[in-house]
Amino acid sequence: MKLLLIEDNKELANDVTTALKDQKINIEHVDTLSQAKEKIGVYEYDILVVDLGLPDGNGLEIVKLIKQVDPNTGVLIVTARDSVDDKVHGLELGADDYITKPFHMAELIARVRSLFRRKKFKGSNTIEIGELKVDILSKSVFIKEEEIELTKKEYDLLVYFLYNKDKMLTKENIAEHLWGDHIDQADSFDFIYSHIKNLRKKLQKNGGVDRIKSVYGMGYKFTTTV
Amino acid sequence: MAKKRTFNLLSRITFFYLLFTLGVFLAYAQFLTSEADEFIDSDLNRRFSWIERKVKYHLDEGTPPDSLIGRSVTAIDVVSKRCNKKEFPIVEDVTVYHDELDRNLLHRKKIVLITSNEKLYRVEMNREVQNYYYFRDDIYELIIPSFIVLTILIVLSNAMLSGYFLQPFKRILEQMQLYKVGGDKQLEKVETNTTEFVEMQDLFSKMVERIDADYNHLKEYTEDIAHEMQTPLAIIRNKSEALMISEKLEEEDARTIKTIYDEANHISRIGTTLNLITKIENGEFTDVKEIDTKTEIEKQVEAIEELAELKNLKIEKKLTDELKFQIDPYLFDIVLKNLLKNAIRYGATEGPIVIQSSKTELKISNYGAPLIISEDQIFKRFVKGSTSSQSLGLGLALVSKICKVSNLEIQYSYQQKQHIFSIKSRKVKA
Repeated sequence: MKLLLIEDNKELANDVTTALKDQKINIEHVDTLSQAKEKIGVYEYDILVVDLGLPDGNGLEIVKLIKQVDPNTGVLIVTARDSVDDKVHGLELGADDYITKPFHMAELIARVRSLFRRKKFKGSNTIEIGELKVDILSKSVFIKEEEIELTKKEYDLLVYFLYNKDKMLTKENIAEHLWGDHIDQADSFDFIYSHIKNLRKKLQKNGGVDRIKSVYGMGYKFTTTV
Repeated sequence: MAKKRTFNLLSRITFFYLLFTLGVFLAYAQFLTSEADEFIDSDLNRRFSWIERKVKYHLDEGTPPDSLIGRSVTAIDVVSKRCNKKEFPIVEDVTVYHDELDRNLLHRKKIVLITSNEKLYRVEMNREVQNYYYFRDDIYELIIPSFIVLTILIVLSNAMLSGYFLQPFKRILEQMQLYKVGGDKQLEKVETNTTEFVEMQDLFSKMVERIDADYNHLKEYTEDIAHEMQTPLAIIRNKSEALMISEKLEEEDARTIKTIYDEANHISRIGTTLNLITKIENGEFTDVKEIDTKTEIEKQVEAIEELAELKNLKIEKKLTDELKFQIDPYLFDIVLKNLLKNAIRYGATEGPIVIQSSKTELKISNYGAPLIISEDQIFKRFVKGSTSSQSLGLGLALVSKICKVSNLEIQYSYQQKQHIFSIKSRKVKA
């Protein structure tokens, strides 16, 4: 997967780069609009991550441009939390998804992964880990080829884990992913606990393995190795 | 406390002016009167001494005293030389009946002693002074009516002129009343060539400029802080998250880092919310639409229903299609989110969370113990109803701010163990 990050804040760009490289994603970074235009003129990318507030202009220009040059490229826009207009405008211009600043790396990874899957795998699209198989398109989950029923939130939680496998996800991170700002994070910990409990129970059906580990009570990790 | 009665400045000045004028008039009248008295006295004295000299001359000539009696001299008697000479001259005013006019007239009588040809005469002289006194009294009769006329003229012209002269003043006052800190309304310049008003207006506009400048500095500062701290905070958060995930860390260190992570999150959320409040205050959300509250509420409730269930809370909806609000959808979203969040956080399981709408009003209520803070504090910033350090204490402040700029009225009450928030459209003044 080849990704271009257009972000003017050096530190943030570094963090994103490190996190995505960890995920074996081929990432390139530019910090201005003009550099970005040069890059997409020359190379092809699977995914563009565009911060809208750039020093030499609005990132929406890039969204417009890439949709003309290579409409198959997935575009994820990064906006300030309360600029609704940007969000709406970006999606109208053809951006595929948005993420609001400040975001959790795990959230970014999940968005990028899911966007990549939507764009590149047509037909079948499954993630498999050991006995566990998730079909992203039909949103169904199988343990040893037998389907199990998950609630919507449990499914979201599972996919979030799968996109960030072998990494600890803090409770705050999970809460934000599941409920956004519908809930204050501190209030959500009990809810997360009950979701995790139920998910674990369901994943252990049919001889499934418990892969969700609690880490120091601060968060949870989905491990690929048991 | 009864309101102290106030008077308008011009009336007050006029009143004192008239009081002063009255004083001057009276003093002047007094002065004229005494001048008149003096004149009368000296005139009479001159006459009386002239008559006295004439009588003495005639007596000296040997004219019989009786023949001297006439209009001016009323009596001449011979008196004993031993009489008390010190009593004379006697001067007194007497009323004398005047048969031609058939009325009493005021006369002045002077009685003197004249020595002539070894004899002592008591001579009584008389002169009518009624007209003098009439003249003297006319002074008051003239001055008092003219004062009254002056008063009436001044009061009338005041009433008319105050409208004219004070009009700029009243308009400047109106401008002052209309002025709102942070408002974008330009002050209208009131045309006037009255020095005091020009000065006042200059002073006022300078003051407004200064207030605006101060306000803008403060606002910029707050905005900058709230905005600029977001990126560093995001970095702190990401770095600490990366550290937490790292396998090499001991549990104790991980916990320390978790604290850093939590606090960075907390500041970040405060910053975002304050920033949002500032944006709302600045009127940056102008996409006002007619919102069908029922649809919005149902959407929001769907998102949180599960959370309520996990807390064993029931949500009861009694919604009508008829309630519409004029508000920016994004802001209404925030209002609902915050009120529902609150209801779920503080809701007790003894009863349901009720969301009820009528034609005019939306009510969201939940069961729970009474507030530990006073009711009028509830919409203030950083006032928390719980001791949870994770609660920002900004949610309801945000809600009340949004209602304020969107012409909605929000009220809180506690009835029958229920916390009730009700929102209705404020009557917009025409």
